[in-house]
Amino acid sequence: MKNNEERLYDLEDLLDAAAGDKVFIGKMIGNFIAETGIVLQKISILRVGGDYAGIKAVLHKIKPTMKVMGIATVVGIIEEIEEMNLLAMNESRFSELFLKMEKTLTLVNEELGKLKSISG
Amino acid sequence: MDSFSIFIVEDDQFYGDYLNHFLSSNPDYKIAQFSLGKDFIDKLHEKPDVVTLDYSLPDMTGAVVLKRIRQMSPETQVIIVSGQKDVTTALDLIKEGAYDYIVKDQDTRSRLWNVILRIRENRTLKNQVERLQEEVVHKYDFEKTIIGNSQAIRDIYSLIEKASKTNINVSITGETGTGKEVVAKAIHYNSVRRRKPFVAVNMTAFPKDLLESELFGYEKGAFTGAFTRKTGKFEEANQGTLFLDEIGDMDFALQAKLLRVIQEREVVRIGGKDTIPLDLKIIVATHRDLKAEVAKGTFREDLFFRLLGLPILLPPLRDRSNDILILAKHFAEVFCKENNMPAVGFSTEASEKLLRYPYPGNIRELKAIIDLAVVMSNGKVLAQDDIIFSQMAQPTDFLSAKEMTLAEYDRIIIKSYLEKYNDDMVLVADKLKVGKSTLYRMKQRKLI
Repeated sequence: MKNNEERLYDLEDLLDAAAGDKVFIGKMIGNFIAETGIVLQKISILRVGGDYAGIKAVLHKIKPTMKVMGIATVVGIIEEIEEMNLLAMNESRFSELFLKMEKTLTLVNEELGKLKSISG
Repeated sequence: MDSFSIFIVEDDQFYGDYLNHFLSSNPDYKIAQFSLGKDFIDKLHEKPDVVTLDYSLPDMTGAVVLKRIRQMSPETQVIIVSGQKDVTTALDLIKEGAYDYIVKDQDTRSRLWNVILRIRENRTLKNQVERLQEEVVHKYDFEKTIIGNSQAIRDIYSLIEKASKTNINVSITGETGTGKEVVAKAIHYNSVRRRKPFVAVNMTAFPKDLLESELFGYEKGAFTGAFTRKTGKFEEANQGTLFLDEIGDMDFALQAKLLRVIQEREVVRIGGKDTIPLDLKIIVATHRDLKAEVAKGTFREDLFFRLLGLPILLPPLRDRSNDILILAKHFAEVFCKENNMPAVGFSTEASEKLLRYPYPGNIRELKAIIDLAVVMSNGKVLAQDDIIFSQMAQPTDFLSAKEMTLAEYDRIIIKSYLEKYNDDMVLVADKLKVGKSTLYRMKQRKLI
C-alpha cells in the first residue's frame, strides 16, 4: 500500500463524515472540482499582480478542504508557501510549488471526475 | 431533549457543507449555514444555541461577528473553527467571549462534536437551575407562604410589597416562631433580586470571632488556620439579599464593622487589602426591642438607624387568633401531602382546644402541634386528644391569650381540670371548690 505522500488523495475523512450517504459524497466531489478550478484561476490572477498576501489568504482558506480530501501533497505545498517571507519572496521556488500544485489538483480532479461519473 | 439550534458561519462552501452534514447526524440539531457575516447577523435574532464561526469571512472578521453575537444574543455559545493556529488570536477571541477555539485539522469533527455536547449538557443544567429558581420564586409567593386572614396579616402583605419594590433596608421584629425568616424570604423572592442569592446568617449561631470571619471572609494566612481564602457572607450575598437574623445579639465591637460595611457598601476580607464593592439588600431580624437595647447601651444607635429602614413588626399568634384555625388547617394539609396521607378534618373540640392555647412558640409551635396531631389521629378527623401541647405555656401565657369573658375563662379552666383528672366530676368539683351540680349542669348544656 502506498503511503500518504505518494497517494494522490485519500477520501477516508470524507467517507467517514458521510456515514454512507452516497449523494452527499457525490455532491462534495462536485463542489471540490468546481472550487479548485476557481481557486487556481484566482491564484493565477493574483500572481500577475504580484499579490502574494492575497495568494496566501486564498491558499489558507482552501487548506482545510485539501485536508478533508486527503491531498497531502497540496497541504504540504500550502504550508511551505504560508511559511514564505512576503518581503523576500523566492519567486522561482513559488513557481515550482504552484506548478506542482496545479498539476496535482488537475490530476485529482480528473480522477475524482471519473469516480463521480462511475458512481453516478 | 429539546431541539438545539446550530448556525454554521463558513465562507468555504465545501467545508461548511462538510460540517453541516456531519452535525446533522444528530437529529436533535437544527442547522443553518451562512457564508457571509452579514447574512448570519440578519438571522441572529433567532438566537441559536451554538454558532461555529470561521475567523476570516469575506465581509468581516470573526472578531467583529463575535462582538455582534455577544451584543445581540449573549446566551449563544460561539465556537471559532479556523485554519489559524495563532495562539494569540485564539486567546483574544476566548477573552472576548468565545466558548472554544478549534483549528481545522483531522480532529476537528471529534472536537467539535464533544464541545457541542458539553455546551448542550451545560444548557440543560442551566435550564434545570432556572426551572428550580422559578419554583423557589413561586414557593415564596407571599400570599401562599404567609397564611392568614387577619388585619395584621393583611398589613404585613402590604409592607412586604413595599419592601420588595425598593432597595430599602428592612428590620423585622417579632417573638420567636412568628416567621421572621419567612417574611425575609418573601421580600427577597418578590423583589428584582429574586434570581440572585438569599444568604441568611444567624448572629447567635457563631462565636464572636468566627462570626466576623463568616461575614467578612478572609485571605489565606490571615490567621492561624486560614489555609485557604474564604469568601464571606457579604460577598456570597452580593447582588442579592443578606438576612442577618438575631441582629440584637451581635457583639458590640462587630457592630462597628457592620456599620462601616453598610455605610461604605464595600467589604475587605480579614487580612486582605482589596475592597470588594457590594450591591445588596440587607434585612435584619430580632426578637429583642432594639430601641431598648440602644437605651441600655448594648446596641449602637447609629447602626440602629442605619438598619431600621422599613420596620415590620410581626404580631404573636395569640394576637391574631382569627388565623389559628386557618394556619392549623394549612399545616395539616401540607403535612398530609408531604407524607402521602389522606386529608384530615378537625373536630369541634379539637378546634376549640387549639383556640384556647396561647402559643408561646407562635406559628412554629402550632406547626409542631399539628404535625404531631396528624400522626396521632385516626387519619380522618383530629380529635381533642390528638392535640397535645408542650409544657411551655405558663399560666401568664394563658392570661395573655385573646381576651375572653369570665364565663369563657371558667369553661376553659373546668375543661382543663376535667382533662387532667380524666373527667372525674367529683374530684374536679372538689379541686375547684364548686358544686358538683354546677358541673353536671354545664355538662348537660354542653358548655364543657
